[in-house]
Amino acid sequence: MPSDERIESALEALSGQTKSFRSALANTIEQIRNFQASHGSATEGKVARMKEELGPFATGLIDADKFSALFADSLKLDTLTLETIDKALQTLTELAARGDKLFVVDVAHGESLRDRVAAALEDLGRAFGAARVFEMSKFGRFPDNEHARSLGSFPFHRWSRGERRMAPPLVVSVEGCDLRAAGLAEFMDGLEKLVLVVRDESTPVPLVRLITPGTFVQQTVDPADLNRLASWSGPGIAALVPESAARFVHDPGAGADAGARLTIDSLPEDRRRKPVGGVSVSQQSEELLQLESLAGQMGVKPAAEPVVAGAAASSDPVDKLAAWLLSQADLKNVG
Amino acid sequence: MTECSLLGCGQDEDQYYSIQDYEGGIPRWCPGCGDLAVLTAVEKLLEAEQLAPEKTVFVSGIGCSSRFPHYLKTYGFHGLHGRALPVATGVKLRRPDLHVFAVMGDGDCCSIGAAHWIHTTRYNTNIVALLLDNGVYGLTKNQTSPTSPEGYPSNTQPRGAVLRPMNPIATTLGVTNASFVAQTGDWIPDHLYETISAGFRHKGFAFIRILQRCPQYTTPLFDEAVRNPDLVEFMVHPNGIPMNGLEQIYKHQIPHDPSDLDNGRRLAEPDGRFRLGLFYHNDSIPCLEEVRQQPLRTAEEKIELLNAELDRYAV
Amino acid sequence: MTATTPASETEALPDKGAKKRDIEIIRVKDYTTEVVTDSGEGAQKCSQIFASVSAKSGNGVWSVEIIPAEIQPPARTPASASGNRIRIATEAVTNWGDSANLVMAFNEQVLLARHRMDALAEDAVILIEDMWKNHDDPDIRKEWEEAMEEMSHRSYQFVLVPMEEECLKIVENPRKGKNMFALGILAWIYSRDLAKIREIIAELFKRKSKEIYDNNVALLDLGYKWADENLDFKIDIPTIESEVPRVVMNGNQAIGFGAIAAGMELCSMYPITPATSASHHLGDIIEKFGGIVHQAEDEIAAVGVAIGASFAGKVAFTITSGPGLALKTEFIGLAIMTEMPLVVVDVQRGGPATGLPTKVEQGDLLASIFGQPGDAPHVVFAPATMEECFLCMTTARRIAEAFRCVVMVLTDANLATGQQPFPRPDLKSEWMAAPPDLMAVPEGTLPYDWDSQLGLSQRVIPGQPGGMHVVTGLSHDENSKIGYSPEVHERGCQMRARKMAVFQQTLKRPEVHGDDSGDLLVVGWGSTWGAIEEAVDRARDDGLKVSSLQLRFLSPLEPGLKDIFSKFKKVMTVEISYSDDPNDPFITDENRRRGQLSWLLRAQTLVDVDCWTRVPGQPLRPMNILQAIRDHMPNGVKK
Repeated sequence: MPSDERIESALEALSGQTKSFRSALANTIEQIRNFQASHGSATEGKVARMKEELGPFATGLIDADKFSALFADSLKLDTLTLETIDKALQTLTELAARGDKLFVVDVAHGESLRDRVAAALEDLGRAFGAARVFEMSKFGRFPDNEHARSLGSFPFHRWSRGERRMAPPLVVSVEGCDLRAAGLAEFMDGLEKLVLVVRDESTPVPLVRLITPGTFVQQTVDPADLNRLASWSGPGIAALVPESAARFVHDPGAGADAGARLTIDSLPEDRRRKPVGGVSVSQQSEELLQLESLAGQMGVKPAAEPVVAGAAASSDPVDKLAAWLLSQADLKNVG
Repeated sequence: MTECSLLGCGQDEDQYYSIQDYEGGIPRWCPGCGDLAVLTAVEKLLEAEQLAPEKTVFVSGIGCSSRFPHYLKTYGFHGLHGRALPVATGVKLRRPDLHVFAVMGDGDCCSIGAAHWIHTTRYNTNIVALLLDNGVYGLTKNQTSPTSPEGYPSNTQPRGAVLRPMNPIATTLGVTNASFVAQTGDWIPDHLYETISAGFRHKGFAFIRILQRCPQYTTPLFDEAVRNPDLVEFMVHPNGIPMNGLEQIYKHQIPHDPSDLDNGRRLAEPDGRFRLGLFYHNDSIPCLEEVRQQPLRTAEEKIELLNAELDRYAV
Repeated sequence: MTATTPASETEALPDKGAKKRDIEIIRVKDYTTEVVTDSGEGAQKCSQIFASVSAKSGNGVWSVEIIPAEIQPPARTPASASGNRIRIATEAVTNWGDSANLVMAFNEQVLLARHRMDALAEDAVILIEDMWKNHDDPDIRKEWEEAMEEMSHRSYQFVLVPMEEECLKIVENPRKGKNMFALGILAWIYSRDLAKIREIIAELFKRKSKEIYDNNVALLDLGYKWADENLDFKIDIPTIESEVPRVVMNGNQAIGFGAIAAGMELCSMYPITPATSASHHLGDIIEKFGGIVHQAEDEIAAVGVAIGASFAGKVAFTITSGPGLALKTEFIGLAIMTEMPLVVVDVQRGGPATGLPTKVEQGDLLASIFGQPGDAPHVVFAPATMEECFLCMTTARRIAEAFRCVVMVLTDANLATGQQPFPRPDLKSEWMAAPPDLMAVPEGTLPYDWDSQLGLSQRVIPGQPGGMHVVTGLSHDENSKIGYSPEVHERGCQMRARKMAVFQQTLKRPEVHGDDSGDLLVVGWGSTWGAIEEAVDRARDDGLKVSSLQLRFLSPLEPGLKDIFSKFKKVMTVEISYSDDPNDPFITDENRRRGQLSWLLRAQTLVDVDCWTRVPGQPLRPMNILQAIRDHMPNGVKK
């Protein structure tokens, strides 16, 4: 199935973000282990660790026992707290062990895209939950009946601004008929990035309802285009769509001029439309009209001439687009 | 490197910070000192931008102005005479996630720290640099500074400053990679605020010279200009510093597109009035911390990479 | 060839069609080679490769660069002498030894320079370019004759090598190729593996064209072939199979690697010889590790940037040499005052002022400890080998972090440019700095929450909510609030000093090399370690009751020194720093300027510590130290 290759390509394009999340995960694990080594373990363990930290040059020169004793933490943690910290650590190591699989979601036929994405982020969010549990435990502020919840799941809506800036990206494989993207708007915050790898046919502009001034939105067939999503320093979503769908990019970072931010590369040629996954022809027309409306409002000057089949010849690209849309949409069905 | 650990990022950042949240110790500057006006403008900026106090760092050198960080409740580094900029560069290089300001006096920046001023301009580190220029060494009680007007009598040059003052704006505009060069005055709070605010929003080294009064020693320097708006001229442009109604008071205005470096340089030369506004602005110059940014590695990755390096030295 | 060597034998080589010769195999356990050329003729590269392949073959190696002060001094003058000394032995080598046994010289003038330095053994074998002897220019012929005359009182054994003539067979400009030809000859003499040499050449020239690599290898092979057809002796230095994997590198590379192994991500520096090459090496690789080398606008900014980075989280380091250290003084004082962790590496050279930029000296000891105005307690230590250069960076960083203090690491030009094989470090994640902890601290946490007993306090960094504070170089209290009162200033000074006293208590009593008591104790520090111990061992073999002590920690000093000293009739330091000779005119016990370590030890222990020091711009030789030991033995004991 070609979408497997596209998943790999999408992961590759997002590797900056995935690496940084995994590196943060690894660092957090390291920090918690350091903390455990200096607080949890017996004196001998602490001395042994200090000896390692001082390195072989210090052997014979520095008395690790005495050195270590100076930094014995006054913080005394009870067994329950230490156990909680250990559970947090287990959560993090379990997530870290999954490697790049962490960032891949497969939406089976008929499943809700929004729910699957929410669940994946909730699952990944356990990393933030675990970090919080550790921090609260460290300061003895942790109400002990709550920890299981944060470690078991930590949904996106509870993520802080800082956590959303650290947000792990997701590559979501979904059938075109299940692609109802509007529900994903709630995840468009911080640095969250989603790439939808669309299987089979989809509606022509499934992502159009997600275009807001600060959100990167892209439909493309070429995974190489995803580098723009990767380099955008805000929330964003891209879909690797079938050839039949529109290709456009809304890049808030493309410049101060609104017209430069939206680029329409190609529009569907196929005149015949039928409902896709419960999205009616009329709704599909709405999507296209919405794109047109945005393009008109933003004064879009397409970088490339839209590939428009059967449209009346016109010098103004917005007029062209409008003419084409009229030819495509069965307006009698609207309203 | 922004955040490299999950720890700390769950802190509640959605809290609202009021001016009081930024206030540090009670300022011990002389009454009427221009530093107070700058402090007020900066506190207003911190509140307007809702900068987390723990994510904000003020670095200063030595001099009256360098007490600045003590009067804020952010992180601060009150360092050495003339050396605010290297410290600020070090902070920003390793922690681009922090908002870094450098506060310097005229002796600090333009005399003992001149090399750092020139080179940090070239590095274009994303720092807001405030030059609090009162034309005199105040803290050490009235010595000639590089910006003291010619003829100004001080304790080191009692028969008057023997040299013409240096022009910090023209100097900065002459440095490669200068990206934001502005001038404002402590007696025009709105403009002062707008200038610092524009400097903060600029991505790169924002150099802001603030003409300010020293009530002890150099009051006469700007006294007349404070009383008489005719002695001030604003550079105006849609991409410049907003005037917010000041145009009603200050009739002398000269249009200047801040992207025009040559004209900016020409306007930097004195011709009778104190010229305030944005001399030059260019957002497209890369910042040192961006140019030098490298993906961070975990300890395990480093060990693996280092072992690969050591293989080349194996015998 | 007749050579007086510990063991020699001959073997008849099979006839290769040329002429049948008897090849003498000289078997030795310790042999010193020098390659000397005009500056720019590539002696360093030739020697580096030779040292490297010798180490790879399993020998102990210590190589030292012979560096002219200028980049292009006039050719064919003694001032132009550039090259390396490579001491190779069966066992590990710890210093550059006494005299060269074999010299490869590209002209007689650079050889003369080494002769005048008394660097060559009485019976040294000298392979020398023969083109100068019968040169067209009568002046050159005359210079050759005069040089030979000057050296004629020694029993040097000359072998004339037609380097130019041979190299012209392959390259148009032999000045750029003789070094590889010479390497080929050395490879034959020492039976080095040509394939290994080719590998090293490929690595060194990886950024150059294939043609350059091919030419170099062709010249190498030509030299090897020439030696095979013309020389009648080989040197065999038996090897002992190493039980552990080893690496070979110079001290500056070791410092760079060590910094990475310690998890340091910022080296902020300004170019200064002989420290710069550390940043060359580091600059080449550190970005892979997420770090950078920042070349600042000057020495002052270099340390300022490092301090700023330390303030913001991880510990940064700066690397410099004496003149740079002087410029950094004020900032170092600030780091001490603000208790900012900082590692400063000083690769010492000859001073004062610009001094001897490329040459070794241990003249920064007192400046590094006492150079800052006011009371500025901090840690100063000195690695003694390339291996220690590697490993000590972790220790330096950890101490700096734990004690919120400045740690100065003193190396020198001898360690910086010398190469030595050592056991490959077994890297550990514990050596690396943990990522900065940005967790909130309780509101009102004091930036200097000194433990009154220990002077220690917890470090808080920007990004940690609740911990906001302003560090200041002015006198301050626990809350970093400026205070000029006697209480505030005295308490601050006391706390910063106290933690250094506490640190001193964690140091172990140093071990004496040799007996714990005797007639004379020689005390040294830093890179003189190997030469001192070798000299002491020889003295002990001769029945002298002498021991030695090599200090690593110089501030605070390692414990128990007074007690250790009390077991010896006399204590003296051996240092590469200036001291007055007591026999010189005007010198009295009152006005005598002593070696820097000797000042320090006298002040610390009230023991009358004597000194023997030299500032020759090169490492000390064991034989000279041995002579000094004999000269300084107390009256009435065996000398």
